[in-house]
Amino acid sequence: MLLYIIRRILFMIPTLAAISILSFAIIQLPPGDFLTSYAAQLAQEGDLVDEEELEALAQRYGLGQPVYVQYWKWIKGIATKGDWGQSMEWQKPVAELIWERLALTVVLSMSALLVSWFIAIPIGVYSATNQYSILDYSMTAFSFIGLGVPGFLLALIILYLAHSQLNMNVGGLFSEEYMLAPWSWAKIMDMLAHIWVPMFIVAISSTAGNIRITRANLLDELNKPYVETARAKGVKETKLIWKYPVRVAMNPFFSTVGWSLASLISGTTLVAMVLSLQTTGPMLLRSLTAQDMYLAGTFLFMLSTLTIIGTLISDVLLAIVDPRIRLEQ
Amino acid sequence: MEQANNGHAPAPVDTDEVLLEIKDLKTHFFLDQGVVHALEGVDFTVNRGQTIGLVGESGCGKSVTARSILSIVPPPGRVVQGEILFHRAPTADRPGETVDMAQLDPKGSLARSIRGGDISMVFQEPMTSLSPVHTIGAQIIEAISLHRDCSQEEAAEITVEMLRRVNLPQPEGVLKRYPHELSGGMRQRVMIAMALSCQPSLLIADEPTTALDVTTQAQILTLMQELQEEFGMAIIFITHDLGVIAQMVDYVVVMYLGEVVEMADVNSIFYDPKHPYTRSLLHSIPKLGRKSVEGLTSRLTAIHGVVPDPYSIPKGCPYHPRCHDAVRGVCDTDNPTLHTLPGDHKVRCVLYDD
Repeated sequence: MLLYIIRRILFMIPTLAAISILSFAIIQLPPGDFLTSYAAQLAQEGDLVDEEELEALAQRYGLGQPVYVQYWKWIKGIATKGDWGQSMEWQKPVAELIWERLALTVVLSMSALLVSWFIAIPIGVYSATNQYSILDYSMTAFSFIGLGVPGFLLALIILYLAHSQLNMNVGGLFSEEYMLAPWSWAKIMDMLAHIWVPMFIVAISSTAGNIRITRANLLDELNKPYVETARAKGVKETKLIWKYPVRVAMNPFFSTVGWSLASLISGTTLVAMVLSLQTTGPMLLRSLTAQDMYLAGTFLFMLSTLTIIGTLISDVLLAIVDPRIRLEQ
Repeated sequence: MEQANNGHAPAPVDTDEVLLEIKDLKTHFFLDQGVVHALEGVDFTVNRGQTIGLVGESGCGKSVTARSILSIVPPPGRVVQGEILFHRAPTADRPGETVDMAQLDPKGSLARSIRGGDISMVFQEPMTSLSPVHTIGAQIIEAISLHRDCSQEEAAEITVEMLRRVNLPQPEGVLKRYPHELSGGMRQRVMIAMALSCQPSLLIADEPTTALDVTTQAQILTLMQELQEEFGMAIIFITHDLGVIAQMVDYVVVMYLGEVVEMADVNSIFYDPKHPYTRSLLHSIPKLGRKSVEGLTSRLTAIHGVVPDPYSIPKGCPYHPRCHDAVRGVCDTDNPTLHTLPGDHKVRCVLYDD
């Protein structure tokens, strides 16, 4: 197992290199660069475009040079100094910009993921073991609605209802006074007070999906002979259900948990925009439209890395929970 | 071995003592398409240490009978009528008692303590009858800790002993293995070890050798006979293989469409079958050296027709549409009762009306 993991990690290096080249190339594909969109933006706002200033910026970022030189400068900075480059739009180092947002995103997405599992699995198990009962039907109806309604729409509806009925503003992760404040206990408590509405919205559509997956997987397992064997042994019914078929039905969750790593960053973009959450999604989108290439490149690079690491985690987890899977060979 | 079995060594078995009485058992399945009468009044008795063979074609209710006895009939099926009287032997902490399994709450503690403890079952599919994600050891130890008052270590010792008893090589190693690492025959040995780990007084074997190849079949059957001699439990052997019946059982119950059509000791069934269905069954199996009257090898005869659709069981005797001896106007109107012939040979057929 350990040998397998080491080998997989070694294989990740060339994969990541290829991905980083590819993502950097893709950022460069559209005509123009950050300076052209910057100039266009200035012109749009009626400001005078200072040709000399643009020239200076171009010099500083090496924008006139070939793509591979730009790429090499960037990747060397990351590898040697942990320098992810400078965000042109924000006029700040990328590293300074993203870590706080990344942390917020991870907290939000992880808690949404856990909430979703804690709600979905018991409901799914109930639905499967009481198939075609009234509660099963209502949960099925709920799941289909949850699956069908996009998260951003739900966010808009809740935003509207909270504002018009309760006169509450549920957007954002912080109150105004803490928005720009440095981190402190008070700020964390403030975040905890705000986070549950976005968390609920993010969790709800995956909850709906997870209920369906649990129910379907468990229904497949419930009629397997090993369940009857356990029943013939005299195992208590509730214990039996959770120990045997549910245990087997959970395997697909372990095989997909890794993928959710990548969607941590980009998954909730629309909801985050509607609720004006300071997570990574909106910033990623903005960096792409503005051709803020170091920021966008960093995000794409992280997404790919997380996808690869996530897949490895999934494979290892699945091998741990399902003895039939062998990683060696 | 000595330690593990202390106090559990089988007492001498009195084979005249009744262990299980099934009386007028009816199990129906309530489906959307209609009610399937899987069992329509089954009666038979199992004595202590006796081996009963339950024979019949697919769909005749053999497996439903087994599941009714254990009260694990899968929904939408349930026992609607009849009694399943199980005579529990006395133990150190309670006297003997008679329990009607048909009246028990299937999920209640009494039903669960009998299931696996006093009556256990070996299933047809050794490949899928064990949990794929738990070790062999964990699954057997669970059964032991449910029914015996012992620590995990003692349960593990008993498990190793049982695995050794069913002739599995390196039982300590098997303990840590997962089912997919074992062959079909080995898994069936594991199932038998698990079923016998709590020293039940009744073992139900639902086609335990059907999924195995012929050499393995023979080994498993021999093993079960040896274990029966050692542990003294009664066995209900469910099969459609009359060869297995001839080798294994003392007493045969022939079922057709949820009813017992004939029952007698094994010699009477094979040498003097009464019911036309039993006769057809016996004619449909190949025999070495069987000659017809003319001295030529006779052809095998398949039973005419197929088992009727469970939603439209024929009126009268359910076998009459396929029966060569059916009497028009009699067999298609009334279902005969079970007649007792000399030698305690029971048969459900008008041919034996007085």
